[in-house]
Amino acid sequence: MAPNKKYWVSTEELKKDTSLVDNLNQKEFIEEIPTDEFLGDKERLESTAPSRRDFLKYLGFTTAAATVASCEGPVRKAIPYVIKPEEITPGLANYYASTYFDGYDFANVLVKTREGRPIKIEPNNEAEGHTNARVQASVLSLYDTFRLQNPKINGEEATWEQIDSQVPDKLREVFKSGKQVVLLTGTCASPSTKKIVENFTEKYGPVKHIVYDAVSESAATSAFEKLYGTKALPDYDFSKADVIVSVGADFLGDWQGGGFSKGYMEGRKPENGKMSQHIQLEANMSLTGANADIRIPLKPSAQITALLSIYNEITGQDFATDKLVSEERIKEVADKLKKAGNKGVFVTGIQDENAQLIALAINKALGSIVINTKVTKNIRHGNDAAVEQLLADMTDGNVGALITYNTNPAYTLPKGENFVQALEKVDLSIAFAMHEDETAKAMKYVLAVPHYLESWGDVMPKRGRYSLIQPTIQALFNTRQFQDTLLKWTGNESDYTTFLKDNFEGDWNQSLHDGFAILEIEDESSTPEVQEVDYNIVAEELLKFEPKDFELTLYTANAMGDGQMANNPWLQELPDPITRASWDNYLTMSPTDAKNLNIKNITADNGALDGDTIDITVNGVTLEKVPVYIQPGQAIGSLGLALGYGRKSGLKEEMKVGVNAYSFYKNFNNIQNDVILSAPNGMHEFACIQLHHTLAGRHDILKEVSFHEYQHEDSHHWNHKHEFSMDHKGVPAEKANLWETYDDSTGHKFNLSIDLTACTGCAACVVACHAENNIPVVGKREVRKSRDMHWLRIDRYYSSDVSSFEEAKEEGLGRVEMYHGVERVAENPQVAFQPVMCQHCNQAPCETVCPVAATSHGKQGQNQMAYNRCVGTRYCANNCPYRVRRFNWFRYNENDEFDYHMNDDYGKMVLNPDVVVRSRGVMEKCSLCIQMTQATILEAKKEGRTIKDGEFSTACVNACSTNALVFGDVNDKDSKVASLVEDKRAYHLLDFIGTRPNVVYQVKVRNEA
Amino acid sequence: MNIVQKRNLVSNLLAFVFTTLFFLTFSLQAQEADPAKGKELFMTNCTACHQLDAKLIGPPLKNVAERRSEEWILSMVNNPTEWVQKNPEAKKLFEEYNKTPMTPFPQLTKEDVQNIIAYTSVGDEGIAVEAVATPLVVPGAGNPIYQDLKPQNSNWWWQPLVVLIFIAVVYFLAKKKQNFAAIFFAIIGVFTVAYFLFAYLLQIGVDTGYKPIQPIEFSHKVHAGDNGIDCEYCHSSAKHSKTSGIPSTNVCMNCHKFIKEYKGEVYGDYDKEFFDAEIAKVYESAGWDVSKFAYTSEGKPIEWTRVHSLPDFVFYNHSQHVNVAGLECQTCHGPVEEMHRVEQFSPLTMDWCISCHRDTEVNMDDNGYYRGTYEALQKAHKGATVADMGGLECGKCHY
Repeated sequence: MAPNKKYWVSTEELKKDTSLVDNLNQKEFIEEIPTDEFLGDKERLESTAPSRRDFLKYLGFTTAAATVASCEGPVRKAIPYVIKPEEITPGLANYYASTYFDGYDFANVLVKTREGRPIKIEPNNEAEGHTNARVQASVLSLYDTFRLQNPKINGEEATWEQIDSQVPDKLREVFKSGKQVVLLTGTCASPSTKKIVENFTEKYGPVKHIVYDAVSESAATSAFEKLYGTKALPDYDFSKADVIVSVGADFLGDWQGGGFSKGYMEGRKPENGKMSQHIQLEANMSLTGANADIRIPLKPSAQITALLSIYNEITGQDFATDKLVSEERIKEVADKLKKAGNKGVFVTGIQDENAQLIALAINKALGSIVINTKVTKNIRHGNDAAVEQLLADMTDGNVGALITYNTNPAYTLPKGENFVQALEKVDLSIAFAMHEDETAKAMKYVLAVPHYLESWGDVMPKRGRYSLIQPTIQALFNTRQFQDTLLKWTGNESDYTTFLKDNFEGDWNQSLHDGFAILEIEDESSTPEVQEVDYNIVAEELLKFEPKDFELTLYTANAMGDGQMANNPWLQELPDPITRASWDNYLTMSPTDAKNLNIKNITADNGALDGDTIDITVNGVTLEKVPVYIQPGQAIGSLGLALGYGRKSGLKEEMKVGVNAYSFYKNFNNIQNDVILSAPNGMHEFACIQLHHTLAGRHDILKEVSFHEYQHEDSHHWNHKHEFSMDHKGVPAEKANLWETYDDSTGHKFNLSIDLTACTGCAACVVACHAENNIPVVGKREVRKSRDMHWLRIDRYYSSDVSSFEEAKEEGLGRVEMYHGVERVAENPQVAFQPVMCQHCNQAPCETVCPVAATSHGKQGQNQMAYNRCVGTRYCANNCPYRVRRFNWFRYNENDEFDYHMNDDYGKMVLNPDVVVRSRGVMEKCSLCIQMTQATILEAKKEGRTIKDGEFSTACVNACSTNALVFGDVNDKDSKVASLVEDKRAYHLLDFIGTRPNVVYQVKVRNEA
Repeated sequence: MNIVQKRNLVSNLLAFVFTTLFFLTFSLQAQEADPAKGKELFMTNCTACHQLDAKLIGPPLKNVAERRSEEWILSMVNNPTEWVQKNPEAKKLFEEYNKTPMTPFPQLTKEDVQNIIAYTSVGDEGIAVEAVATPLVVPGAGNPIYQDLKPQNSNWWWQPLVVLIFIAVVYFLAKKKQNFAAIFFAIIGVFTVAYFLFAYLLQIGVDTGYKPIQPIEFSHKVHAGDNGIDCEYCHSSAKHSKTSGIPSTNVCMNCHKFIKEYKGEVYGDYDKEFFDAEIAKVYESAGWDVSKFAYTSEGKPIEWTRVHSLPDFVFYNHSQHVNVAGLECQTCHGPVEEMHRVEQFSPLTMDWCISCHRDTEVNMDDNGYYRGTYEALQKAHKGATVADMGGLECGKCHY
């Protein structure tokens, strides 16, 4: 923790006289159990039923009943296979390589199956796979009961025979009529599907294939086409960069398909003596901005002028200088970029072709080696113009048949209702869909397609890279793949599997086993045609986006993405890394603007957050009662709203949260400036956990250092270890010990190292932990009461220079003035993420207070929790300084009050059979995935060999794509973690209280200079 | 007396001669064709495809000599491929039995074939059987209805009686105003009741001796004991996985494809027909049609009643104990090879688990795993027990 910084998690802490934060800090369980309220009122006590006498009767009866019932054990069945599949051994997991691609996220994955059920998604490391929170959660969507279980005709369930007998004839009719037949799909990037569609066209007639991405990168692909001749996305290897300048590009999030975080962090390893510098100019506080070394809040119109200024500086041109105000800090950014030369890179997230052109031109001028224009990415192919043309054609009645696959335009189009109306003029509408979503509901034929874990397929994510999708479970429902259906309709006898295999060149078995194949890239000797770009016009066009009082930036939330998986409770409950709110989307607004508009966020006594709602009108479209979340770091005059929420069809009632921001997505541009806001008109209840489980404002929780200091100053200055006086000598806090120590020098001793520099806060680990450890989903109401069950949370800290904070405190005495101070501090705070799970203390405070010894220390370093022993006193949670223990307030399985996956037979199939499902009234917490470490040990014992470094792992470690988490055995002196524990950056959380944790953090290094 | 003696002698002699001659006829016959030898040969060479009185892969062979000449049979046995091409009858058979060629047995001599033919003529009944297995009387096994073999207190009635006596004594003493004695007896009474109640509560959920009726009267004694089938032949995942695995029906079919008749020990109230019907249940589960010698339907799994059941919050791994520790199955499951119907042998309580963990030494010498970080421990602690290695920690079994 830098000495000149003040750390805070909520603006509430910055207010002067509020006891609220202190209260929250001091109590693990904020809500009192209302015993006094009940027992203190004698009259009420006597008048309420049941009376004390009744109570005793009930007590006696239930005790007797329970005793009698427990005498006879239930008769259990053991049902073996009739014919056991060769590859399945009950009790052992199988892994299959496959690929996740839903038109939005792409990942090479390994699917862990148990007894034929996929239960976990891991990244396929051989294929350089990386998983984000959504890919991790995708396995739960397989068991979604809201999936289409049969094909439907006009909303009625039908059979495939009916479909096959009706549809081809109708298609032929449409072709005869001469009207257009349109196939509208999301990006599928599948060579075999492309071939099947071609065959279909050959057989029936011209089919217009339009690709539509809900969150468009059409601007970027078009710009790339203009400069490089192919409609694709360039690839970026941020590990090669010295200076990264991003204008509104959330490249650690979902920008251009995501997946850049690994390379980004490879270029930011302070121990290698080199760290790239990352400068982010943005309006919303994004994940990328939170990780940036320097972040400049700029509203979209200012981003555009900055973009042009940087372009002018780099290229020496002077476009539109009359309209650009020369700003010193922007000039500095440009200078840094210029200085970095070909090791600089410039990216922008503004979904405007001209902005993308400028970015590419800057990289070209720099000669950047970070951008790769040869190996292009295919995972976004949407064509916005074609989609708009389709809508016009549909309205004019020119479209005879519309076939949709993997797309939901009725929800994602800015005017979805227009699409639904225009559908009436289409003679034949066929939707291939997994859910009865907004689009499928409006279509005549709805053909149920399987989940990717039940499907075959191939994806070509980038040139030269071929990935295979293989089924890992028999189809759960009466579904048929899109490709199979098309093959059938074209009269092809073979199924898609055979087709895929026949069209595959290379070693099929090996590629299927690996999940991917590397193809040789043909060298394109002929340079494609490139258009001349007049940057004067580009600049002019860009500047048409005029500065307004409020400008909106639409973004995709870390959890929900484009909204396909809205019915996934893991994702709904995943707190946003920045706002720490779950189960919602909201308008983010800067504290200054909020004050001017008299909009408040109020933290209730129990830590729950309430916020004002307002009506927002963008381009004449109004969304009513949108909650406002006051976001520190939001650029003044800018607003943010997440896409992917506000789904209305094909999902559980409880998942229908938030507002549909796609209604504002005019021209497929994420920045909009025609915004009108109303006065606050109501209150909204957030499920925000930012003040829950905080570490009570103790200092030295998060340690930070600048790269310069890290290199040139002794670690004593920036990673100070507390000392205590023992025998008149200074002894490090960790050595001063009141307790008897364990002999843990033999056998394994597990340590987990968490590098705060490398952690981007992406929360893939949180979902991985959910999946691995059968963690229940508790729902919005319970999250508000700080009863979320996440074993692993990612704390987000804001920090600001102490001078301004102190000034504010000193200056502002009254509440109003204090607010003023809050704004100044909260204008542009720095952000740091800190994953916190059970620290597995060697001298654990929880162990000593448990009256029944349910939690105890393991020789291997794990603090163990025996659920069956726990009686639920919650003493341990109250005594845990890290606030990582979670209490089961209810039975979260088989309980209609918590109607999530653990309450239905399909959802329960995702449970990990090696981890027990906890019951009501017991405490639970991170076990350092003891089921995984034990399995590794057993495997080695069976094979009679020692364990190599890297074999031990946990769910969170596997899910981390930036290797921020490293796990291993410190008694193995050659292990990576053993050296990390000794690193000069290593520190223990709250080391001065002498808990001697087995989780170690690495000081965050920022390259601020 | 002498004469009488002589007559006896003569008659005895005559009897001896005749008997000898009688037996000689038998042995002479045996020299020509011995059905006992034939049976042996039949069992080793033919049973994979033939049975006496039913179709298998090949035709039934009972009284085959009545249908075919000896020469025909010999040709078929020694060189079936050639014979099928030469002989129209053989060809017809070949067509009839799905064109499955017969395995040639050139090693079988003419004499061997004659012996086999002799066996097919007389059948099992024609061979002197040493002794018909006397039905084993298993006490208590007579009643096929579910028996709860939990240790039952036949004289449970004394408990309430004792309580009543105590109450009566206390009441009597209280009435006599013997307050001290009344309180004294009351306290003793409460403690006595508490003691027995506690003992009773302790055994709740401990199902030692649980011996449920299974959907198929499968005898572990017949399979593992009498026929000596290795436990892991059927429970094959015990050395790989956390569960030992209930064998799938296809494992049963490995043998029962050919064994459709019960020839083992007949026990309890059951008879051979009963056991044959039990074997038929396996065929039903497998979807196997005996007459067609083929799988004809999908089959359905057998719903066994689970005998050993640990609570969900306990992690137990068979491979850890069977494969790594090298325990015999019987150590925990008892003499299963002597049980017709399996019952729970061990209490499966935590006390039982950890007492074994306390006593059992870990064999570190033979397992390469202990070479690594355990080397110091190995040197320091010769004869470390499972408990020394952390085998008593809660988290090792509860997660």
